[in-house]
Amino acid sequence: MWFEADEIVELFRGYIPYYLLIALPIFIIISPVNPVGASHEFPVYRMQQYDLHGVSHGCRSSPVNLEARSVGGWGTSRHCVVTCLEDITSDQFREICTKAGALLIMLPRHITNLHEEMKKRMMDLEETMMLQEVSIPVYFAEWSPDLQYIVDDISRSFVSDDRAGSATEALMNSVSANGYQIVISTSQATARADVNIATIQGKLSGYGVEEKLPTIAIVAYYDSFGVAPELSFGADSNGSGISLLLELARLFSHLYSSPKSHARYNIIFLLSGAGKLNYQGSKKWLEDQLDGLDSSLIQDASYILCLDTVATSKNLYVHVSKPPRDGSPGALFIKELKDIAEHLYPSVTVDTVHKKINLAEEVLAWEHERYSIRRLPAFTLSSLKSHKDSIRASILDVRENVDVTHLAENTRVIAEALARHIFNLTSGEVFSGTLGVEIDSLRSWLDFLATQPRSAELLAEKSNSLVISLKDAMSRYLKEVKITYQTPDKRDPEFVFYDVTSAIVNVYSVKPAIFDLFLTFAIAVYLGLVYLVIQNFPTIYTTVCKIISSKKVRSQ
Amino acid sequence: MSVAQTVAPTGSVREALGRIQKEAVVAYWRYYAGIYLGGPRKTKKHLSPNFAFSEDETIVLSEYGTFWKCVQAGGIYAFTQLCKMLILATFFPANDGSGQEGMDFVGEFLKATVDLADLGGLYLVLMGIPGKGHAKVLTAGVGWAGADILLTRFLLLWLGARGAEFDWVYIQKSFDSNISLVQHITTATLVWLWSRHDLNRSLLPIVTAMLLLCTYKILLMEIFVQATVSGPWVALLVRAIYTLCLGVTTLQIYAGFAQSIGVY
Repeated sequence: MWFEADEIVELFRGYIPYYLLIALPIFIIISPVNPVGASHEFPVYRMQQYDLHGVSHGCRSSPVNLEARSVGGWGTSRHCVVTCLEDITSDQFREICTKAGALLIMLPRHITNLHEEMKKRMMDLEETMMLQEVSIPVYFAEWSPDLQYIVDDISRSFVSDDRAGSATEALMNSVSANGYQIVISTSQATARADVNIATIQGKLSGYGVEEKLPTIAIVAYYDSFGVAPELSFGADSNGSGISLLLELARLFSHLYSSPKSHARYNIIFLLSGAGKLNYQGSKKWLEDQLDGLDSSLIQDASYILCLDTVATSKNLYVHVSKPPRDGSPGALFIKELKDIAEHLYPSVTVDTVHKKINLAEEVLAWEHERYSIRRLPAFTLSSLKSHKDSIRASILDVRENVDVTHLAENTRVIAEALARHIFNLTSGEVFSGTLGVEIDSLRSWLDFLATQPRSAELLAEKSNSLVISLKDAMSRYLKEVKITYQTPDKRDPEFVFYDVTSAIVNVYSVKPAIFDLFLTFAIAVYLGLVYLVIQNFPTIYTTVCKIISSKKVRSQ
Repeated sequence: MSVAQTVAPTGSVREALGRIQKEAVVAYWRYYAGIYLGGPRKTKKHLSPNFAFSEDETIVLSEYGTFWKCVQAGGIYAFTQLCKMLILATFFPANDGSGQEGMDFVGEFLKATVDLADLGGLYLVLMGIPGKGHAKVLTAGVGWAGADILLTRFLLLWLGARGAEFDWVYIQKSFDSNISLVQHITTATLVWLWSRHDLNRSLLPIVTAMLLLCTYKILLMEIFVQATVSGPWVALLVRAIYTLCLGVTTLQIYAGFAQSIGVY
């Protein structure tokens, strides 16, 4: 027949098939398996994890290697829930935390222009998340079209798991479904040993003998807080406070540099660290100042002015834990503040809020309470009426949501009141014309501070670049600028930070095992068909030959 | 060098017998070496008629023969691709026109024209490798396709297909390899038909047209995909149908011609 005397057939009749039988599996076994080449990689940010006063907060675990499921479709602790932030409620979150394996949350696409209701829901959710210890790894990812596609795909394919009509339908579903494996291969988060909380101080000395002059301290903490350290930009809380403090430093250094306007007041500027962790920076600094061997200016301070979240609105609230006595410098300053707001800047309102220190609570409400505890006259200026406002600890607190004109207005009022009090004026404007509050300077500081996450654990290493640049800015205007570092006690630390704040997630699209079975079957059938065609090729050939010869006969 | 000549007139019979055996072994190895080194191949006729080989050995020999021919075809394939690359690199400098939307039809057409060199390569294979009847065309086609797959697809499959992630692209590539096997055999047949002087003159334009269709297949497919914005599966299906049509037509022409020259 056709192939009988053919060499090609000889090729396959010899030993080659047997060689192939051995060679192919060997080739397959030694083929390099490359698990890293995933088609999807996203940067993800881990939820906060820290211990404060021996109480653990946030998420306690970091590596993930689980199958992705939607909020409605997960079942066991072998599933990683992947969802959008807007699709998850507080109750669902609590349930996931106790029973699921991990949680990956995609942030909304436009975090800057959400409507109010959505913002409120998100901040409530953030609060719920930070309320309790979470045993599963929780990660946040920024919005991206690829991730959106995966989230949609997951919610489509697994929502019908239980509702499939028949067994065959369920089987077909599981065969055609796209599975995703979420792999975040980080080490387990461990406590960090090299924690150094920097506190930067500088001062402007008054005219005369320094020790005999009254002193004012202006304090703002520079860290931020949010549900994920790498996502907490803290533009308003407390980027606005730092901007205001630096602007005050600039204005008063101008005044103090000329002998004519050199006031008889010392002003201490302090940027304290770890403010969101119960004002650790202030606490340590105060201990150093008061309990140290040398006498310190702060012991006889007229008042301590803390700045916290000063750009939310044109309202200024003076938070005090004990109303200052009439005639005391603090009371005078508050009076000036109200007077200026009333007469010079009618758009700004100033109110006093009185709240007693509650030592039973885990954290202090405002920074001034740190000083009030040590019986120093202190108060906090803020645009927020309550310390419980969720914007103080939210990832929504980004630069785009802060109006710099509010900040400028508030700065003018505060600077004016301070100047009046220091120079003992009763009317008129000090900062006007060339020596005025510069909105551009405030804006550039705010922009700079809000470009990077400033969570306390991210700034905790020694000579952090942000801390250094803040120090440089202060030494441009102030004297005796220095950084003091605070390290938590080794044995009984007041606070503990953990590493692994960000990671890379690999999303592999995988198929269920049953799909492999189906595919193998289909390939076997295909190969069988091809074999049959080759085997029966002589028949096909003769058929073609016959057709041609019949055609030829007909044409003849 | 026949063994009969080497029998020395002097010396004992035993010595002579030993010599004959030695010569036979030398001749045998020369035959093998001829195969391995690709030198002018000696058929069994050149060997001493005094020594018959067993049936087993003949099978081994012919097996290596076909295999070797396929490898040779592969070598010529590699050479052809090298030439093509040289031409492409010389005359078609890579323009990183990423901002350019759509296809540069003239440029693509000229690039596809370089693929005509493949036909030259196949012609070389068919002329250079001895063989008779159907085996000649099949050897050239299979060797060519084998080299093509080894050089373009093998690495991709070997490195990628065992990844943790399932991707349909590997299944598609495998299907595509099967299609191109048929395509290469078809092209080899067409080139062989075209090279025959005893081919019916009326068939020559058809064969030439089909050769051109084979060469510009990739370009045509690309235009089709661009025009209809179809997915990879549709493109694969269209490619399969296109190749099948070409293959069946070629088979008809080939069968008719083979009958007329008496190859069955």
